[in-house]
Amino acid sequence: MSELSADRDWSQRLHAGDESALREAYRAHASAVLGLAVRVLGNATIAEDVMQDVFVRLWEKPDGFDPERGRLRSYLLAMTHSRAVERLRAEESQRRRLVDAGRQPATVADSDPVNAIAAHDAGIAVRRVLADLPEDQRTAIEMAYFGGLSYRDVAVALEEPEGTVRYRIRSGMQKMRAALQAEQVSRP
Amino acid sequence: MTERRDAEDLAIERALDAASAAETQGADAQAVEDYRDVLAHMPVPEVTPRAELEDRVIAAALQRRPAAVPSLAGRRTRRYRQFRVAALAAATVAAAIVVGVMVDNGNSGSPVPHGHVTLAALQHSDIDALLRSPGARRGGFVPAPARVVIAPDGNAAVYDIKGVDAVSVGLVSAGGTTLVGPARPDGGAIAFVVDHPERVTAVTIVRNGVEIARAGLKSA
Repeated sequence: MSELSADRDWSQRLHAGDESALREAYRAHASAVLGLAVRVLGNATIAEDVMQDVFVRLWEKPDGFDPERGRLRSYLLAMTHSRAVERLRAEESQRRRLVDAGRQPATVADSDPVNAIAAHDAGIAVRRVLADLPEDQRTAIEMAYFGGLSYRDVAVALEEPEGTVRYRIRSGMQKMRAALQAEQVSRP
Repeated sequence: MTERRDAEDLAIERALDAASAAETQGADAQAVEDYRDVLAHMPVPEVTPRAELEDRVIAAALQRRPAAVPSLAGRRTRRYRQFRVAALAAATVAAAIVVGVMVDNGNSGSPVPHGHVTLAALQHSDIDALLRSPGARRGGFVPAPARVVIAPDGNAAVYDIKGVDAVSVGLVSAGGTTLVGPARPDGGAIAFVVDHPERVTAVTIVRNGVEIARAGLKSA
């Protein structure tokens, strides 16, 4: 079954209240969801809470996911990132200001964007482009995404104008988007 | 370099959660979805959840909305639980063997430590306080001329870093190496917090995915 077919099947069954659909979706995507939450939060316990929130939300509000608009993996990871960043900012606002990006439960080898996870061709294409980006673009994207930082925070951390950071992130993201779309077009 | 934010900028900023929905009104919805799809392919190592989490998550979900298809789900769940009982029994035996091996090696097989950087502006007095913490461990990097200190409460710092390039800090434990960063040193230092400091056996400095220095840890 293709990813799209699986997503459509899960969507229908989640709407119907089929518990087994939730279990299947959990088993397919929980590792990615937890991986991202740990990466952003740097704390496995809080990351598990975020993961639970994400799957509870998927079950409680199945209308939030539309398989015709995007993949379930993307939907879950976007929700995971959003909630992790919310938790991060809530905690950090009570502590010292965060200046860095990183929380990465990866082996050193895994930190290489090309050698990390090779689950999908599309993922490989995106990671290859990421690895080939100029370092200033890649660093800005990683700090914003994995660090949960606003552009202003990234600019402060890098001691660069906010407009420069915005330009770097935009340039890098557009390249990765183009690579992903090219991969999807070329896929049979 | 323009400061003007067009729909593309807003979509990217929204997808990154770098600004709120209110701040990114006008973002193209399809572009947001496209960029979220891009970000879903970013290199994030997957983390396998603890086995018991599945039932916890499902139970929490069912509390909010009971299953409408309990029979099918119930059968599958029962089969799955039967499988899990057998799998857990096998895993218990395997774990006993692994623990035995680890005890022989003096290793408790504990969680891999994770951390995050919390640096605003680290002062010398902050580092001195860390170094004076009872039970703090420290080390000197080889070959880079930098040092590290990790306090028992998890507060830690790499300091005396030469250079201003963004680097990551690797936390080496029996479970592998986890990275914190990248971060640009501020005043030659990067402060961070570790959730299981006792598990860290060495610290590395990583630049562009390549380890450039390593420090073993010793009690102060």
